[in-house]
Amino acid sequence: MTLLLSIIIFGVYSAALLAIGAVGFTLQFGVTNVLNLAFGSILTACIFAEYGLTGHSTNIWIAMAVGAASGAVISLLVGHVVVGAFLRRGATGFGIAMVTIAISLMVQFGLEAIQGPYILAYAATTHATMKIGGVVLSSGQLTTIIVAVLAMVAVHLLLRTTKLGLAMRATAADVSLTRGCGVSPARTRAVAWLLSGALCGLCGVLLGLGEGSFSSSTGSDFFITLAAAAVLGGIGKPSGAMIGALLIGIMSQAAAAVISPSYKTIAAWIILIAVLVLRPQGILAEFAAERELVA
Amino acid sequence: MSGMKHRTWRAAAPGARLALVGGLVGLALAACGTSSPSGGSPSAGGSSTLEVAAFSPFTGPNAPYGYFQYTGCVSAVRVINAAGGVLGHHLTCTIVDNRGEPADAVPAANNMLASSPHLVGIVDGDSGLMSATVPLFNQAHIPDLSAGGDVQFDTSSYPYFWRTTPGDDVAGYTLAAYVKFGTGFTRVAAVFGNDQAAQGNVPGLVSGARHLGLNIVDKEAIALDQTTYETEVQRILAAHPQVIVTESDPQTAGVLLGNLKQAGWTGPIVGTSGTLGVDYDKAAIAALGQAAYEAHFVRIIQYAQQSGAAWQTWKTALLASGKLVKNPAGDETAIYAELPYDHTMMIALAMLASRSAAPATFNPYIQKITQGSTVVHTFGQAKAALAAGKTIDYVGVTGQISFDKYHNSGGLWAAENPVTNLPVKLVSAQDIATAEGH
Repeated sequence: MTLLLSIIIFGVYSAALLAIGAVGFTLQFGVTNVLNLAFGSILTACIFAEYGLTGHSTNIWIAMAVGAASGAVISLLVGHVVVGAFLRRGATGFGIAMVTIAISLMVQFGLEAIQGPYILAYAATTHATMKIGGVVLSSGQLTTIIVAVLAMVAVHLLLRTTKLGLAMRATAADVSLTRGCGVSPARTRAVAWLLSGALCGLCGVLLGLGEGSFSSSTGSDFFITLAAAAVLGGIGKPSGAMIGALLIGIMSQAAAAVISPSYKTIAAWIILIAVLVLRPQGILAEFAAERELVA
Repeated sequence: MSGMKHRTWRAAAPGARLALVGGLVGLALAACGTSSPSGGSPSAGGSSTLEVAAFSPFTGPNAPYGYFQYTGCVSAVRVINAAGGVLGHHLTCTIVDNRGEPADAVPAANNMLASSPHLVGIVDGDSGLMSATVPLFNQAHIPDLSAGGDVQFDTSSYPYFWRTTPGDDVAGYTLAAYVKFGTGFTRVAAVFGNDQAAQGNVPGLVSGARHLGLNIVDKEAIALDQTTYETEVQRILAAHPQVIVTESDPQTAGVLLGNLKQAGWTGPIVGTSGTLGVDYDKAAIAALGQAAYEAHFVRIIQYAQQSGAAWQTWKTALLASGKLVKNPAGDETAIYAELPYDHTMMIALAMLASRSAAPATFNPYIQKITQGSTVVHTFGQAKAALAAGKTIDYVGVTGQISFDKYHNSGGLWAAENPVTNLPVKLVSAQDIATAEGH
């Protein structure tokens, strides 16, 4: 029973971290049509920024605020300024993806060049804990889950009930139509980069605080699973990313508990392949005409 | 194809001919200037600087091990050059970053061998890369003095491969011996990362546990760099171990140890030599707090001296290396820095003893300098003894070296405080032999 509870509780915790990042990643792709492969490195940069700006603070609330703000700024710079410059010159699809890979490598190795190959660690803290049927959950983990839920609700409400959300969904569906309706696609995309970056930074600092230490490759390592969650749910669909994250989080923990911890990562990819074989568009995405990256 | 004219040599523009000839001449000169390490090695009496390569990861998660290699090498080179060098040559220590992955290590090795005409030796220590790179070094006839633990090399047939640290399987037996004779506990949980280096300890631990009557109640091969190991921790604790034996990379360890603490584990944790390093300490302290880390964690590692002429010389050279090394004060007792120090010394002494800087000539002397009649502990002592016509037995910082027919030499082991690196308890050769079933 304890093991089953552990699978569920820590599956949800893993999913919470994945969901925040995956929603940010897929939301940005959905609106801007840009496959941002620098997302993981931006996530790392946000952890570094928070660590440096707050003096290694382990206060989760301060960390989240600084992380989200850092992520928003960095993401806007990357997306609107750098990637935007290439877009205005007519770069498309594969070219833009390569630009984001270049940005990712520059950020990662730039951080390593500044910091060195060593990890950075937070001071040890003793969290308050709560016991749920034999499973011990820390206050930090519980906060992460709650923050993830609130963030997902906020994103959902933004997209469904606000004009901005409507503009984002419209831009994602048909750019020329939104122009005709008086909505500025450029401004909408800028907001998407900001929001995506904020979620990226939030995910990053929660990941860094949760693990207690980080390095210049932390975000890149995490990005692969995060992207898998986004693809699983249907790329461009924030609600799909939430479901994808939950599925991967729980199934990874289940694989570790039932089979072997070595199968944790493999389980995530088996799920992804299995779902895509049955539904190539992902769990929630509508099956539409092939979507061209950065048309 | 109509309309295309194929120009002959005679018809080609003079400028093009000149460029072609110039290019060929340049290539020929370059070929003459670049000699292969095996065929065109530096000879005694020349004035070129000889190169010892620290072939290790200097970027990526295993970068701390690379800097250990460089620290030891640089410190040894300082001592050697201060004593006049070797056969009229000064030595230098160069960094060759293999990034810790075979896919990167092989090109890095090939590039190093092709572009280093004065390369006389290699010091390395990454278990996971040895099977890919040791054959290359041997093919190039460059002595490779290794601290890597790949068990395949317990019975090595490579004449240019030398190792002064036991294979990971012996490390595993030592873990079992410490648990049995050092703690008295019998119920063991083995929690190792699923990478090759960490898993190399497991067969020896399992076999040793069987010989010693220990019960491995849980064995986990954990995926690296996960956000949580709570489920794995539940599996471990459900087996009711008395002691946990572990190795993983620093970030994995930080999460694992934090999750163990959160779940209420207050028992002893025994780490392997793979847990040595500033990064592992940082991550573990972040997870447990320094007091708890020092109280509950010991590291089983090859023991090196902390006094005597060899250690004093090493310490002096280390502290004098200043900006060249990352953590001089902290590395005084770091075995992974002391090993390459002795390895570099041995390369230099083998050259002196053979009176040749040609690797193919001095390679057999790497063993001979540990078998002579005059015990020496420093480069200065050795140089004086050789100059007086004596044979030497170099006993350096890491103690007596005794190569078997496979070019392997074991050593002393100890359970050390993870922060101070000072021994808490020695693990005797007898206990290790009992674990091995002898």
